[in-house]
Amino acid sequence: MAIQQPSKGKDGAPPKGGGGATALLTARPKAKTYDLSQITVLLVEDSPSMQGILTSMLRAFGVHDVLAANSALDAQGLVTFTQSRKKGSDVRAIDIVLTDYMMPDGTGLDLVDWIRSHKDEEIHFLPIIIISAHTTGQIVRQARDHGANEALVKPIAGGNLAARILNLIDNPRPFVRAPGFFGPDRRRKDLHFQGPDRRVMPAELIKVRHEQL
Amino acid sequence: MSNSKTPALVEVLHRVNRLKLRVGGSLTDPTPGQIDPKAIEAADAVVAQAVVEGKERLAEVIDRLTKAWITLRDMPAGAPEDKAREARSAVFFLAHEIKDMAALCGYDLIAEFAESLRDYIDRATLDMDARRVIVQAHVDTLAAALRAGVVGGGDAMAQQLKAAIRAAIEKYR
Repeated sequence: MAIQQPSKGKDGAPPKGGGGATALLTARPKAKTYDLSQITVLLVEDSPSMQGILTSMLRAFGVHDVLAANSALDAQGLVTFTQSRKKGSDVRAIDIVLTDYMMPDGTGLDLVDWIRSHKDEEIHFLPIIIISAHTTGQIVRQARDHGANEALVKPIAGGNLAARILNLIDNPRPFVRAPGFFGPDRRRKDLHFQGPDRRVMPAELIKVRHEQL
Repeated sequence: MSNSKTPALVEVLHRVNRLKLRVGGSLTDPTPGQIDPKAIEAADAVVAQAVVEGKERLAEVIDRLTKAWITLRDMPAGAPEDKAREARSAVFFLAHEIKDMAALCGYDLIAEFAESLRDYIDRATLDMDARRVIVQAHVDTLAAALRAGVVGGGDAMAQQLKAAIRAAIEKYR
């Protein structure tokens, strides 16, 4: 049995709304407009200027609560604090982590590793967008292999940031726990390939769980 | 799905999409939603404003970089290792910040020099005068390019300067 692939649209096309920033800038009359005012975003960025810009962009999207951390270490403290205090208190849980890649005192990847290996389930599965100033695909691949959900390359524009957030909302991928990896399924699209599928695994080696509310 | 006695090698977990519920979406509606296009325009306006203010902010960070470099450059040979590391780290991260800001504001030449400086300071030991000259050349070029208001990749002279610094970096890796 092969690991379940992300769903497809008609004719094998990728699901609509999967990503292009340009498409997002065009109003889609029938699409529901999401209300981001109830979510909390943890923004991890060491540059005060970039932190200010990203906070303002998130607020423009309607995000009311933006928690800012200057380093991966600060972020760990904030995540631990909010997750431990939220039961029965006014402290709201973090819904999305938006972290820079390159920072002093630990990179964004260190933060991703910390989150994905955390024993608290609420922290373990946090959606993570990693921001990188590097335009090479290497960082994007690293982010994916460490368990980040999305990668965003600087310079940032409204459409690009919106596209990544919408992808978290509309196209969440199942989490995969495998030897040496825990994170969102790294295969987000099916490519046509002539030849035997070497990704097929015996059914008894795969366990699929569907969480219920 | 498996219930065999063999321990599963791979586990696939389909989580409830709590994020979609938090933003007012429905788990039974597969139609993708949107962020208000006006909100996206507003976010782009934030970036546009940052670009307008960019020159002033860049000048401030380049000034901090210059000071950080002077601290590192003038550090005596016997200075404590952690102090030297701290000073070097300051230059690295200020160069990184300049790169981000410059790229955002369309100062491509400045972004390129800042990136080059960041990568050089990360790998080169500064035990030779020639290497210190290379760092100094980067710092001077950043300040000069901003003063001259060089937007984009720069003119033919800028390209020559880039080539000269690249050649020096190759020589004194």
